[in-house]
Amino acid sequence: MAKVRIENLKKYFGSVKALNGIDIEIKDGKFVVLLGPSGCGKTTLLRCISGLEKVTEGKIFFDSTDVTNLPPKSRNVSMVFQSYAVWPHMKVYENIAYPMKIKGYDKNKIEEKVLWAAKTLNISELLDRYPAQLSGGQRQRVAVARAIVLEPEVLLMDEPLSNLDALLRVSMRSELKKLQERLGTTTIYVTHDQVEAMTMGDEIAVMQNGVIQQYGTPEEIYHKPANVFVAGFIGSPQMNFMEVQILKEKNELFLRNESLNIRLTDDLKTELGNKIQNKNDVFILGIRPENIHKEKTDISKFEPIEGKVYFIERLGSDTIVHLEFKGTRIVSKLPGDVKINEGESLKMYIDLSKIHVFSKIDGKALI
Amino acid sequence: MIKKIFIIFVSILIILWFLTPVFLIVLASLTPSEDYYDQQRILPKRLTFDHLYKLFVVLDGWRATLNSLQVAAMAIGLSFLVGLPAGYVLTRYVFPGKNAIRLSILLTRSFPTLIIAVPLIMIYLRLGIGDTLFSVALAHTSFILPFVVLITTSILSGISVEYEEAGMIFGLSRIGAFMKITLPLALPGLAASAIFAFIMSWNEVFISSVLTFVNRTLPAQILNTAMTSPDYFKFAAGTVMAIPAMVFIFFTRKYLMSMWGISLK
Amino acid sequence: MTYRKDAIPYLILLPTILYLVAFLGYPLIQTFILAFTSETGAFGNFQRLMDSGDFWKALKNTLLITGIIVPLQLILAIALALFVNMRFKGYSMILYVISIPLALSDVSAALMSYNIFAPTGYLNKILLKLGLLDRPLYFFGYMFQNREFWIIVLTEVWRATPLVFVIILAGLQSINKEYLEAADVFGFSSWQKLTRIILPLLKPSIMSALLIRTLFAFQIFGVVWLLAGRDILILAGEAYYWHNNVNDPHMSSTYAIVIAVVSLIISWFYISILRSRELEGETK
Repeated sequence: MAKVRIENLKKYFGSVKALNGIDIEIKDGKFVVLLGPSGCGKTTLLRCISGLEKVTEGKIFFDSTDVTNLPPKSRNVSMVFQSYAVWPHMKVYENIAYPMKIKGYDKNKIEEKVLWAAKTLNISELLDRYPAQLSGGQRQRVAVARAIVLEPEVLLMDEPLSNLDALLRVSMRSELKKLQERLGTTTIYVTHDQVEAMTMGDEIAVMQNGVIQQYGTPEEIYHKPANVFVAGFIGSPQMNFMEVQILKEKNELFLRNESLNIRLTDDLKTELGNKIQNKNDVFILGIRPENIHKEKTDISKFEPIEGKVYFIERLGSDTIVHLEFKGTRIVSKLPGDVKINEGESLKMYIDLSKIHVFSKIDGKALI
Repeated sequence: MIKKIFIIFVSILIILWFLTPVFLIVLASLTPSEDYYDQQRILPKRLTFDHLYKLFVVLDGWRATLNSLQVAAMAIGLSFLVGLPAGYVLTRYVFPGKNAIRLSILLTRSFPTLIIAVPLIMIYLRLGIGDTLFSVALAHTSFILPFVVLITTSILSGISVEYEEAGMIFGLSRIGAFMKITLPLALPGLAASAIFAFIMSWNEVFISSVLTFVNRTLPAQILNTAMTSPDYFKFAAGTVMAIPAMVFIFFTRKYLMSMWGISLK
Repeated sequence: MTYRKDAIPYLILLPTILYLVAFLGYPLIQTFILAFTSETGAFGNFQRLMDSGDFWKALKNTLLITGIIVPLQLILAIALALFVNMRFKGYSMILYVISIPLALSDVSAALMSYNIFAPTGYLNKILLKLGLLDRPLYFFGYMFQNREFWIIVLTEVWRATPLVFVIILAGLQSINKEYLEAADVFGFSSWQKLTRIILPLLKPSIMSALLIRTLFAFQIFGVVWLLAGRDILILAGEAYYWHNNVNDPHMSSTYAIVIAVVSLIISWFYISILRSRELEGETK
């Protein structure tokens, strides 16, 4: 078990900057998810940590050991690959035992540990089979068993669930998470699936363009997105964005554009007021779909919008309403049983205590 | 039903068309000479191994066969020794100029080998290896090596890098991971390509006959004596040349398509 | 440190490159030097070549053989590939039978052909036995050049059609079945499926098969040399003859250069057609 610290890590492939200055400190025993769209550098970062990829610049520490220039075999990491990489020419038993065989463990010790790992992953009855005789889910369990059998300092997982079918993926999520909690191994997990990230991660690092956009707990990432990218990437349906200007009138702050004129609540006013330098700047207002309601409770904290229902997605548990509102489309998430028809006119209310405001210049969150 | 009859009919035609010449040359090589020259006799009264025996023992055919085997073995050994690492690098590494190198190796395949034969003799004479089997092997390597590089590139790229990387993660060095993980997985394909390389060398006639006079390979020997020896010896020689190649191709038929795809590109 | 690591792929490739330079590149240059040295100046050998009737005969024959066998092989190969691709029971056995000539050298193929068409060969034996002939039919010898020529064509078709077949079949197998299913849905006849869908999609395979076969056909040697000797002059045969029988490496190299140059032109021709098709595809 180890703390992982990364300092100003850069990785260039020719002129492509896959990682462009990564700084992160992962606490001992945490389950950390690297989340981002494809091409954001998350897998490259994982591979740099594993040692499979040489870094261009920067340092990687496990506890206080500088492992930057060590080959993978000297790092005491293990990894679960996207394709599982369960060696096809070895039986399951040999696959799990091989890492220990390389390191020269004695036979009894190997057997004891293999049986333990197999039991932990519920694959004891598969030990005598070849990988070709296993299903995808079983192969994955073998890959995980192989990865934990040596009790590594750092366990790396590269989209391990992406090749499983939907049902199995959900059950494996909780199983992997519980396993990690039991073992307490520092785990770094790469995925592009935000649900996976939110449900499994103690902490999430959202990445884009080779840079970590935000590092925090799932709650922080969701409720306090650091910038427009994180706000837009996390959450489904996506957050609604609108350009607004901030105007000051008689000690009040207004978010205003051609279709909206929102008076800020007192809490937000003080929070935002300190951060505004130039009144003429353009800002981005962000509202999550679930914060637009059909009913209001308190007039001062809700802003009404009225428009025509353009399209309805009935998902059973939820109803996603696309509202045509003065030239823009606003998406709202309502309960599954609401009675709305396409084409009708509808009045809805924005919960003003839950809005986000970002700078248009650098995308950073202001509130 | 009509379709079934059509398939059977065409299949028989194909089998007859492709196998009759092979069958007849084997038959001729086993036919006693008096039966062969008897115009009224199609099938011989008895079969004899006389021609094969004479070809091998009296006419030194065994030596030419042995020469062919040696040349093929040397050429294959050399080609894999040099070409396998090259193929590995071309699959697993990303580096500037990779495509240019790959393309130029590919281009050498469209290059008529006979045009290098003449200067090669002079080079060999200067090196003091003129008229040796080793010199023929060197020349064969010049066209087998590009094949080996390309075929190993294709075989290795069919084996997921992640197997090798998993090996590295779990305690092997890069070379160790290649030897212990990738190589065993690539072995059937590599064996098949070695057999193809063998056929390429075994069948090559032009360079071998230009480069050697005393130490001739089997096809070179046949080419140079064919016009002067009795017909049934030629057929015995043809049989000797054809059978191993046919047997080998039978064992590698699973890889046939991909091999020829590569070797012809 | 990083510099050394970056050099690794080049270091591993170095032996291959050096080998090819030494055993292909260097001899190639030597061939050029040989071809361009003569007592009568740089182009003396080429002058001699042009002036000799043999060269023009060899060129004509080589082009003729290429021009006849390549289209024949292509048509036969497409037919065979379509047949095998029906995937009937036992098709893999047929596949193996067709691929047998791939393993045979031109020498064996020529001998097999000779075995059938020789004066005491099986064809004559059968025809005599059946009473269709009263004396053997001759196919070989200077007097029968015409017959020799067609025997060579037949032998080459037998020997090298499988080569084209393998390429075409590979192309055929890579055609997405859904295209054909779509054609079924829209009511195409089998003939329409072949001409409107299969053949157009097969074009890249056909082109590369044509390229390869044309190149190889242009270097034809073993079959002609064994069956006809110098009755039928061909370019590669002349290169061999000038080297082995006349001991003149200069003329031999000159023939080799002609073969190489024509091969290059053929490759360039095919590749430029292929290239332009690719570009068309991109703009679509």
